[in-house]
Amino acid sequence: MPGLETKSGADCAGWARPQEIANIVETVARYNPENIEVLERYVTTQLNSDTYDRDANLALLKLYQFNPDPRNLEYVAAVLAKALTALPDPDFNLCLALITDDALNTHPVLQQLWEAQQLLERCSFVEFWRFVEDHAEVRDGALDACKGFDEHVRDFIARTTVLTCQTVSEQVLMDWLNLSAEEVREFVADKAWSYDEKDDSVVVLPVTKENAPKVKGEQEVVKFEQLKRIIGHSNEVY
Amino acid sequence: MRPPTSYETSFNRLTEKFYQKDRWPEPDAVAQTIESEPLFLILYRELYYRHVYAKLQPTLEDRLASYHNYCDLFNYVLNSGQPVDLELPNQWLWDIIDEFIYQFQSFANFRAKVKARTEAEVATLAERTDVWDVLNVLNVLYSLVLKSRINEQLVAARDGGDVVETAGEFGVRPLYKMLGYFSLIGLLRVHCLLADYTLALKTIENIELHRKGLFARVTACHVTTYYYVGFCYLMMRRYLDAIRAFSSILIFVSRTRQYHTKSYQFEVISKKSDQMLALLAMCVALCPTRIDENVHASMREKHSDHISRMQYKGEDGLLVFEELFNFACPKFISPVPPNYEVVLNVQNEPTNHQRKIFLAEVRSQMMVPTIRSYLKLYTSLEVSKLATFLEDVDTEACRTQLVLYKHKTRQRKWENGTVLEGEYANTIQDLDFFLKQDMIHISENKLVRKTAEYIIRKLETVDRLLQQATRGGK
Repeated sequence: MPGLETKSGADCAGWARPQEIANIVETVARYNPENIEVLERYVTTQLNSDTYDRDANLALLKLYQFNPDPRNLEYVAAVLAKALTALPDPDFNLCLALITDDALNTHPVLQQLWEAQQLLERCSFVEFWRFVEDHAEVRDGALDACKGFDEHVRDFIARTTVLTCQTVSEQVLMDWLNLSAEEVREFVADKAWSYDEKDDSVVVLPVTKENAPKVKGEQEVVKFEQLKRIIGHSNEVY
Repeated sequence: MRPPTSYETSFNRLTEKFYQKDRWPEPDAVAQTIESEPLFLILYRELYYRHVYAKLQPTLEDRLASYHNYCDLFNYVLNSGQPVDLELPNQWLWDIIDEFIYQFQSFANFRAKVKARTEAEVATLAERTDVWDVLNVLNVLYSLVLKSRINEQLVAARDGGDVVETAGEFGVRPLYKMLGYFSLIGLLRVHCLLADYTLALKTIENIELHRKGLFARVTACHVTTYYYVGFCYLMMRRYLDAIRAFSSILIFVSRTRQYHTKSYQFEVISKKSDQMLALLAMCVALCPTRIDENVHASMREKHSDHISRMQYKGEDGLLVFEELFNFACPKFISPVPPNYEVVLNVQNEPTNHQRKIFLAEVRSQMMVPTIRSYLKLYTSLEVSKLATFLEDVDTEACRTQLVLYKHKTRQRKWENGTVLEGEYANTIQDLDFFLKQDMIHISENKLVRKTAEYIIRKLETVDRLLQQATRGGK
């Protein structure tokens, strides 16, 4: 299932944190302001190669927290956009915690990224797509630079949909994923989902333990050992 | 050399008796009497300033002098070729680290109250940026961790290696080992105060919380550890893990109550416990779970009003979360000095920012309990019909709310491994559902209350009492 693997970076399967970065993030070198540039370059690498390293990005935000400089806005926005691709993990909030209120209030792009995150967190997918369409700044200033951003958001939406639904109408999927009829057909094929045999406007999603919850009747079992003491003592009482 | 046990009792007794409102004798005056004991003077100054912070108002001079004294103390411990020949009780070592961080926090607060600072103070603050600088504080804690090789020791203990050999010349001494260990907890706290929740938990990844570790040797340390771990989980939206952390320490505190009512740390422990009850109440409101009966009872006793008002819809409910967060959160700090030219008190800004993030999260899931209560009444239900029950919600918005319900009730939960690890799990065990197009199918798990175990326990108690009574009668 997409999104279920640990996304803390270093332990991501098939991808390892470069040694140069590990030497910074995993040691006290993470406090050395001279490493800001290295970590910034690493953010750019992540943007271009569609990789993600949460802890390295948090380390960069921490360096900014200790060495405030208004010039770093571009990277803060990039890190926040990257954190959105980690949904459903709340990485965005963890990044936000390291930014000051001041920065949020003075930079509309950061504020808008937060609004976009709120829409995704509230699963208001239709509103999310409308919001990013209406706000060119956030598209140009952050999201577009992040390779594969839309695909990641769609993966998150798909994941949450599978959590909830066994079947869903194609129209709802089109709205949530912001895809045309043709595109949604491709998406369904990519995910190896299928269409209902009787009604091809309905998409059938894979059955998981989340969307097919089983009723568990829990019954209490009392073992004989538990009663040993009581039975044993009943002799003595009488 | 083992100092007399006067630390925990006599010093506090003398303080109660003679120094309730006054300072202990000036260190310089004491120095004239005990000239040849530099170490004694350092430890005396540490207590002297700690007392000033606890009972009186420390001036800027006090803050600077106390900082320098900590430098002297840690230089003495860290910058000697050989391990220093000193042993102090665990309690005392914990208090040193704890107070060091407290004074750092207090200083950050002090300088951020720009309005309250005089011109002379601002001049000193601007000039002496090294004092209580965040990097210097972190440096002390990291150095103690490295010197004691505490992480290596913990790994060896966990994996069955040779702890003594791993510990090395310094770490094998209780003084270094415990200072190193307490510094890990100290770093957990400092990182949390700076709102770096991931790094905070990462710092203690070699400490196994589900086993009784060294943290349990000092109650105040035990409580601190769980408070910050629980708080980090809360901010990481891992409510089940937060609940587990808070409940386990609250059970511990209530069971050992009789031992620490007499302790000089009693006040600190009860204040932290109260805060944790408030945090727990919020976690349980966000993620309804059955918790330990006794803890549940104390939570209801303190917060019954809050608990019912948190269920209010919209802003009324949020106000309660706000109130509880303010009461129970750590006082966050800014790692950098404020702009002294802007005469504004900015000491609360870091806390306000964290609260804003937390409340936004709470706001996004306000509808979950309402939806849950409606779903409980049905086995199947149309989305459009559920929408009519909710105010201002059309069918599509209602469908969104159902997806949101699933999204928010799936959280990472610790199973094994380090504190940061966790797999996605369902947080609401008793009710689940799925959608088939426009129809909601609901399944309810009737969690049977386990009564047999309870009755057996009670029977055994009666049995024991009966035996005691008969024996007493003879």
